[in-house]
Amino acid sequence: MKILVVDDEPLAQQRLKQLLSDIGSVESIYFANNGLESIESCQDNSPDLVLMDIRMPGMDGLEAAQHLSQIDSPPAIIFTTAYDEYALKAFDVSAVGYLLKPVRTEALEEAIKKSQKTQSSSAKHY
Amino acid sequence: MNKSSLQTFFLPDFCRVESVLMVVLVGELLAVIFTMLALPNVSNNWQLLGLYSISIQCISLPSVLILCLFRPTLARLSDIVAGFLSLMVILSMTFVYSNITLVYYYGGIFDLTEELQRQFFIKNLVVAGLIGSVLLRYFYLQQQYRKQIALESSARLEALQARIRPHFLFNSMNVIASLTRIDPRKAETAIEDLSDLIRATLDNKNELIHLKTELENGKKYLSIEVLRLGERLAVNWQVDDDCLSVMVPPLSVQPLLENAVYHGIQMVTKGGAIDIKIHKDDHLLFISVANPKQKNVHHKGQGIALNNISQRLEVLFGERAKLERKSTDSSYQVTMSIPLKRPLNTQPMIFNLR
Repeated sequence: MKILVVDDEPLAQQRLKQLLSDIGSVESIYFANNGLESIESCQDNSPDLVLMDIRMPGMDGLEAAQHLSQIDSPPAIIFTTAYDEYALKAFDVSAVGYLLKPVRTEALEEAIKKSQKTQSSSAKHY
Repeated sequence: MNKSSLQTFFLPDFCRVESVLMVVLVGELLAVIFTMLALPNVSNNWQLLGLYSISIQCISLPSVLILCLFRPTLARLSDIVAGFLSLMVILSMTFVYSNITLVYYYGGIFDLTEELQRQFFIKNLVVAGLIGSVLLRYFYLQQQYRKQIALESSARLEALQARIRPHFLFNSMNVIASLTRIDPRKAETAIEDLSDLIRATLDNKNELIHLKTELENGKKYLSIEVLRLGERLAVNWQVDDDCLSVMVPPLSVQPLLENAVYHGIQMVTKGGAIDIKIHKDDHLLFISVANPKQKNVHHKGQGIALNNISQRLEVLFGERAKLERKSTDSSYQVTMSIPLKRPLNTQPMIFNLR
């Protein structure tokens, strides 16, 4: 599984990297520092899952998710944020999950499983 | 206990020059009123005015002296007893003075069985007693009023206590969680800094603290943000040394820094520097915090922290404290001016408590 971590904070990226390597079953991890970079990275690397921070400089996570949902075979998106004032908006852009920082390993694992199910079920339609 | 009961005692401190001056002036006012009431039946109004003035001052000033000396003792008693004793002081002085007048002015001998003398004493004591009671009642009501105002403003201050932004709290926790594996030392420092900051927001005992302490809190806050944002955040301090001992409200500078990071630096892709400049003149302390911002973006919520600070400044310093915002396309600057001395605005009427 290919995963893209989008966060403007280096240590927040590191934290998710640690958790993902704890979970295993991750083929490769990419990083992006803001919404704009995340779109570029998706075009270059076509990840299966995007872990997206919301509050970022330049383009924020909600806007980036909207753009990503319009590309061919869009990745599943899980939002990660420190405080849940954006929760409702996040589901407007059809996110698979919503994780609060600091993220727990179990919660991340659960969200990844969920994203795999939705992806495989949406894949069956085609 | 002594100090606080003295400060909240309803009798003003008559040992103060201002209080004595007010007593003399009020006494003269009464003398003028009594003289006017006697017109036009008297031949020499000026002489009468003089007589009234001397009499009133000879009663009020010794009373004031005694109340000044015994104020600490009276303050320990209940308000009713203290009021009653104060009234007794005024009445005794009136009695003593009436006696002196009787003997040395009229050349009489103290004898209450004499009708005229009895009337003289009763009249003096009743007038002094009535005026004394009215004044004591006035002091009492004024004290109640002041207590009320003090209560209201401290309640308002408490409600305005700055709180830690949840975003910052959880982001910091995330940073610490990350650092525990990468760099435990740094994680430890971050936890210490964060604890101090949370303690500072919970601690609302002091209305004012030294600028030095407030800046230490600000530096702790920024050192956590530097961990979080890395190279994107730079800080330039320019603080005049003679400002460090100035008293400022707690959490007056730190929220400005938080705003500068949250709405400024963090929203600029390349990041930037926060410029903090602090200096003072004879009356005011000036604190300015400037940061770059993303072009043409207006963030909601930017004003909440600032409004909170300016309301607290208003409660504490009245209109002399100011908070000014200046926004350009690419920068944002807040300048706060705080009076070096707190005005005595919690004591709005004639007599001061302290």
